[in-house]
Amino acid sequence: MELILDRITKQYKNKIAVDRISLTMQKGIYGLLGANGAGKTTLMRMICGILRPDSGEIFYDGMHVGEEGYRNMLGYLPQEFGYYPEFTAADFLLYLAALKGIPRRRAKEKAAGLLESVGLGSVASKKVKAFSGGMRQRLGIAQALLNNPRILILDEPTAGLDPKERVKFRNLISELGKERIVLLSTHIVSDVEHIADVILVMKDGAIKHQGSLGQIIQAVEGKVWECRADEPLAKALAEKYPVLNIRKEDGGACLRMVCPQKPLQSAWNAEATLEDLYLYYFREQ
Amino acid sequence: MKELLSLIGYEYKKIGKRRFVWAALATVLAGALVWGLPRGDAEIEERGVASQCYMLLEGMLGKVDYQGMDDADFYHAHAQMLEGLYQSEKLSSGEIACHRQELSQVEKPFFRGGILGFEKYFSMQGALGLAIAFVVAICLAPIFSNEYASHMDALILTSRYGKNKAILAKLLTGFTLAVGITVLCLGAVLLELSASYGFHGWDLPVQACRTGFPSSIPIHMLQMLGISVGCAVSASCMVAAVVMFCSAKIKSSFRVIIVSMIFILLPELLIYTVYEKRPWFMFMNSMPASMMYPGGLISCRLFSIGGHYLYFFQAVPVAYLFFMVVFGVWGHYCFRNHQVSSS
Repeated sequence: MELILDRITKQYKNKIAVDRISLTMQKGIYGLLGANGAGKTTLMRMICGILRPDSGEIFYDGMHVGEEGYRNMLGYLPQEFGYYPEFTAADFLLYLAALKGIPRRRAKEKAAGLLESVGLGSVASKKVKAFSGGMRQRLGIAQALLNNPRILILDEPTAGLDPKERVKFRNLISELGKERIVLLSTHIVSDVEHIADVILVMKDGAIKHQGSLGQIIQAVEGKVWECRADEPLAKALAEKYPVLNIRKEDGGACLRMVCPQKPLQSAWNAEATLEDLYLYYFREQ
Repeated sequence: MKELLSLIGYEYKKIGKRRFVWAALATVLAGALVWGLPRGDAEIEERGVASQCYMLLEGMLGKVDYQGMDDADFYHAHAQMLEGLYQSEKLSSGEIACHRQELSQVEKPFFRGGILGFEKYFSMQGALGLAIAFVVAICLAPIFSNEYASHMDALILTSRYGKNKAILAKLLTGFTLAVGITVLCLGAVLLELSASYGFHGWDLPVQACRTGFPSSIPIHMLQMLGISVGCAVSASCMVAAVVMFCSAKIKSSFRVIIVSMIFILLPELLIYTVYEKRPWFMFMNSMPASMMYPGGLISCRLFSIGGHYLYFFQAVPVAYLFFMVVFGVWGHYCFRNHQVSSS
């Protein structure tokens, strides 16, 4: 089970959306982290075969991305999840099951089971236009799992979900990642921090960091400092160093920042988190 | 096969969920049935048809003495009328020879009665066919374009059958829908006319009615009816092919409907302005809207292919088959290779 991306490039007019990305993915969960415009969605669309790269190839176990066999093993939740407003949730899943080549009887069972697992069992016969954003997102997750895909591509899957639903989703993905390749993109660091086997940090179309949480945190390990300062000093520090967080306190503020050396005598080292890395890398955006 | 039929079923479901489709279909059907209702005494209406044919004679030959005319005189006058028509239409010698040979095969007598049902149908089919073409365009405009607008394109194109069977299902849905709507509307009108007037004169030569009087084609009423309905179905399918192609290419249902309306209406608006220019006339009269008019199907202007002369109803449906395949394949290609990018 190997998904190979070989020097994938995509350019729009004068902007390089994806810049010669080469990746080999095996079983597990890959978290794609990046700000808006980093190229995450473009990369995912190319992996799904709905956007042609300007150069490079994508293969899964020798099968090219354009083949029917490849699509048969693919589950995709797009960032802009499309639906038919007049269809019920059950009808919608049955239609997608038909598109995925699932026989009708099995599709009915599978659809019912998936709707239950995403918490939509009680509204299966309601029209999708009556659903909230979170409910539609859960429906989108359900449709991506219909054909028991070997490759699961999820573009911002937790958008619109409340914290409780997000936890439930993380547990579901954790389970799924044991037997398939899961690539999920997100702004929300906590979505991938605890479940991703490999984290890919993407910026300006390229993968800047790649590795387990512990490996990529090394980029900011020992460089995250916290200190207390009065307002004028806090302002001066904010101008000098990338500040990750400012918490107002009586008489001043508590700052969290990244810098290679101790910014103040009274500063202390804080344990680096993935969020620190994200904020540090994408602070200009 | 089962998968394809299942996908076709879902395409029909999507079309059926749109209320304006039902509204458009109901409007056309109701309008056609009201139009086909009897308006007065059938005998008087039949005499009216005969007098219209005499008016055609007079239009070509000048004043005609009907009282002093026997059967032989009438058919001689009819033949002279046709000769005058061939001259005014500037037909080639080959076409004229073909028409003369056909005229010799036309059965006589022309008039016996029971042709009113046919007459009414032939006079209705043109406008009804236009309305059917509009309904087909309204039904099929969103077939591909709505997938782009609703962002379903990404889900469809990443599914197993999304780049093959799903697209084929849409195309088959479009063609079967066009056939279905045409047969339903024309069939309803034919049933109504059959009940109101009957089709007793089915074996009379087509020259017995106003539509066929200026023609030399040796067919009877029922054959003409079959040709008219067949060409209407063929024209509907051609409209479906063009609309589906536009839907795959243009990506906005509203714009597809606008383009389709122009495609349907423009030949109707231009045909009389290009009447004198034969190549343009042949082209405009081959368009789907023109092919809905029974009179145009048996126009005296013929296609000459390999030394053989063909009527519009013989040549154009074959050409339609070719273009339906071309537009179908092209539309298939457009949707299949659609690149999903941020709007």
